[in-house]
Amino acid sequence: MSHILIVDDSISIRQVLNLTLKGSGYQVTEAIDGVDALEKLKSIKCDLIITDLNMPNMDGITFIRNVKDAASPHRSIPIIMLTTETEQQKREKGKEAGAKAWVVKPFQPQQLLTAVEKLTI
Amino acid sequence: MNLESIKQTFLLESEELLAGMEEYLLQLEKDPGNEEAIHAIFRAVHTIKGSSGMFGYDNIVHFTHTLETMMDRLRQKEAVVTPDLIATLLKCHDHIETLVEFDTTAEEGQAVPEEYSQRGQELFSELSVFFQGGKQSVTVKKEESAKPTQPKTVEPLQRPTNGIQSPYWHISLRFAHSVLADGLDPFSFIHYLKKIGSIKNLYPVHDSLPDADLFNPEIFYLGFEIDLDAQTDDEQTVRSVFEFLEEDATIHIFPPHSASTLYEKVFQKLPESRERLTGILMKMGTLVPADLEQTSSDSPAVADAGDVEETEPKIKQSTKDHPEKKKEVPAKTSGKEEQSKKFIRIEAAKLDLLINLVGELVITEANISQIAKRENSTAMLEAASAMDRLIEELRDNVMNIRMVQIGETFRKFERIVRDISRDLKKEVELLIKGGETELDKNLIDNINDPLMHLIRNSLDHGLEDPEDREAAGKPRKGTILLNAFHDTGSIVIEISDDGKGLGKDKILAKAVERGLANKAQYYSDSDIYHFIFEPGFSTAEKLTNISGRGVGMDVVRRNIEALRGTVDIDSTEGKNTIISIRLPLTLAIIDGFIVTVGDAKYVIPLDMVTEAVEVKDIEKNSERGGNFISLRGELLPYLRLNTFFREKNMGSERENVIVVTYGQQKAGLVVDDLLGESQTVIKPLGKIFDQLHGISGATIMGNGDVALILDIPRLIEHAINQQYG
Amino acid sequence: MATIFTVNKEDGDIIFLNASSTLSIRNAKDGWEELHAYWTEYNNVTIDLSGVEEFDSAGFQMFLILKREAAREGRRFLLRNHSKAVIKVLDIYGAIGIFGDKVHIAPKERNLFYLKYGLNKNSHYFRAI
Repeated sequence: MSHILIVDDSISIRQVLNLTLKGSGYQVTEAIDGVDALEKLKSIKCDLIITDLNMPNMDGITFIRNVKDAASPHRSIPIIMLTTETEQQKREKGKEAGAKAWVVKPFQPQQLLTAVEKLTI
Repeated sequence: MNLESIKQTFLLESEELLAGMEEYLLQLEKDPGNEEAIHAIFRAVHTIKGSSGMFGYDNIVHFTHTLETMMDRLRQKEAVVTPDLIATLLKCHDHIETLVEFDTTAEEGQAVPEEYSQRGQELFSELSVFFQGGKQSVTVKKEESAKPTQPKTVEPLQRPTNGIQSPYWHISLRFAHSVLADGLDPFSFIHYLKKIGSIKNLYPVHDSLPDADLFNPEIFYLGFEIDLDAQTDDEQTVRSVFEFLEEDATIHIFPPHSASTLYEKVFQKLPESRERLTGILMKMGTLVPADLEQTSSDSPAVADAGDVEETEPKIKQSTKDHPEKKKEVPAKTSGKEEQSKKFIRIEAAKLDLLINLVGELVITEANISQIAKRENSTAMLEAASAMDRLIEELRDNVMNIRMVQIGETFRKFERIVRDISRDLKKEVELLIKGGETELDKNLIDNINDPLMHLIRNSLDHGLEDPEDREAAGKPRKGTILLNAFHDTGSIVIEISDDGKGLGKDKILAKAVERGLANKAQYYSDSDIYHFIFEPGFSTAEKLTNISGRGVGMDVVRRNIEALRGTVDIDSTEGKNTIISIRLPLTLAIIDGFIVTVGDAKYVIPLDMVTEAVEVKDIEKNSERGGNFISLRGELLPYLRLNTFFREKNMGSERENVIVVTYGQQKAGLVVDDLLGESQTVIKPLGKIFDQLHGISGATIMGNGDVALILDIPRLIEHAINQQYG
Repeated sequence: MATIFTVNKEDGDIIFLNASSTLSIRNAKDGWEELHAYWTEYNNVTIDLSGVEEFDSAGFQMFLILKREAAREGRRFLLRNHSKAVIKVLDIYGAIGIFGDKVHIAPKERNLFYLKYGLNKNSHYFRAI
């Protein structure tokens, strides 16, 4: 069972994601921003990260850079970015930083699950 | 946690965000240079937009989307913060509040009041004044699309009439070295292909895999050539599987029957040589020599493929080529008496569990038998053998539970026929026969789509308008008959209609026009009807909304063949059309005889085994120095399976020979050990196999070992040819 | 450094290893370093895979490269007691029969696998080399 870390400052988005993913048999951990997420990564074995880009404290791009850093023990974890239509530039930055997949908000649960399925084993 | 409670969370969260937004707006009013405040307001709007989208609150999404754009422009200092601007933004804040309240309390399906969107427009025009360039510069993006950005589309490929023969999609994948390090595993994408079809063959191209000393385990060196049987005509569907991978991989997708020139073009772009690539694709069966002939010369193609122009209409032959299809599947269910109609509904998963448990039971029993043998306890052996019989019966009965009457599936079409005939303004009656006929649940699940398509076809193209029917002396009301019955180990499903039938001449003319048929040649009626199963054939002439779009008859045929079935058409022009689908009774279960050759186990279909004999010094016994053994005076060609399968030779003095028969032919197969009979479920193998290796399928044994099922007709042929070849 | 392969037993130039729960891109670098060292030192290597819970293309590639080298050099690189996670990958890559190892699939889990192509022992993986 794959373990997924959700990083989003919106509690309702976290809950919707949590519900969707748990319903499909994934194990889920929530983090409220990049700082929290990096902390959580220390204690869980995570298979996939789903992250918002726009968050207080540490934004998504900085978080992705941290995870994908050459010295990071988590660098092989795939990342899905939650982006909006207006965040084209940010998404490009995220891709450069090493997050290869994204889902555009708002999305149907199935769109997310499809992306998740392609990135987990 | 459920959706309702999350909605409550959304409401609370939005209230919190809006409260924060209000506070920051007031701060900003006091301190117009406070960038942190602008940022926080932006984020509040952004977050509300994001979460409202998740609940489908489109009106909030529309409003906050535009507001977000403007807040972004404010961040870029495209507007000056003034008390008036703050006042307008506060009004926007209030408007969001109104919308949130409305959406979280509205009844399902309740329309958003017109005044809300009007109010939104008013606020936007009010806002736009504050931004440079005035009204025009504010672009209100009305259509917020929920679609993820599509990977760049490729021009849809025209399906050329002279394309290659393979009916499958072909996918060629090469990866960036960094693909694994980027967190993208090619495996999961290939695995995902199962969602849209079935992988027929996969060839790992390992040419760039370095020696162990130079191997970097974080780099991915492999490429893949894949044949996919997909239930789609749309390249985008196939391509979308590889979304996210576009930057880390070179992906080439070939629709079924693509021109061989297209392959040639792609070969030039791949790292391997053309010879290597054609070699791979020929081994896979994607390309056959005739395909390559097409590009290189005008000379007639050679070998079994026949004349290039006539390579396609070979449905009948191709089905004959599959040895499993000829096998008679022992009937497990027919002849059930009318039972009392008391049913209980069982979850399919529970049934699967039961079947698995029976499987476990079989293993346990085998274990007990072994112990009994070892202990040499007659009493225990007898008990074990009695148990064995019971388990076999149990297994048959459990398999039987999977059998489902087809009636329910048939009846589902009543509503569809009613609705569609109304749309088409036709009068149609659906008759159902043989609804009590049973077949495997899996088959039922998979036959639905083909049936639907065929029925739609009958409604749309088969049956005439009431007026035309009257003019032709037929009753106004047309009839569609769904019929199911058992026939020698198969189940037959017929879809017939009393409509105008198929126009043989028209079909043939079209087949000739499309290069599928040859004018000079004679075609039987059945041959001609089969042309409509050619890709793109039936849909070209009349397109309507009911049928003739989306999947064609070729997909119907492929779906049925995937179930190891066949489809046939009969028709009388002006009178009727009958389409018969013939399917195996169940998941192909065969009674098999298990033998070992070297380390591996093989299964011989029991109905082809005549006898098993022990022969001493086979070679010495061979007559005339050839590969014959003499069996009670009869000369029998034989084949050493350990040589054939390149297994190591056990070298025992006395050897086991299984005498197998197929049709008029007979041969002996030399094996290492006989393990006895067992009921096994066939899993068909890919194409490479049954052509090259004398193997027709694989099965998983009671104990979980994978065993291969021998292709007896081919092995007999091989044994015989060996004598003269 | 975490130990990814532990020695079960050794017998002359043969070594039997147990694989840890993860054989993937996550620990591919360390895993390969260990495995390659054993492969250099011993003529025949057998790995018990029953404990592998996470297996991916990186793990597959390691095995493939040693299978190929074994075939070329007439040595043995054997895989035993494949876990479900391993079979799933070998199955899709058509490598169950190709690797030539004895594979056991529990009756419960049969439906999870494809087993459609590549059950053949004498397959195209190594023939061309």
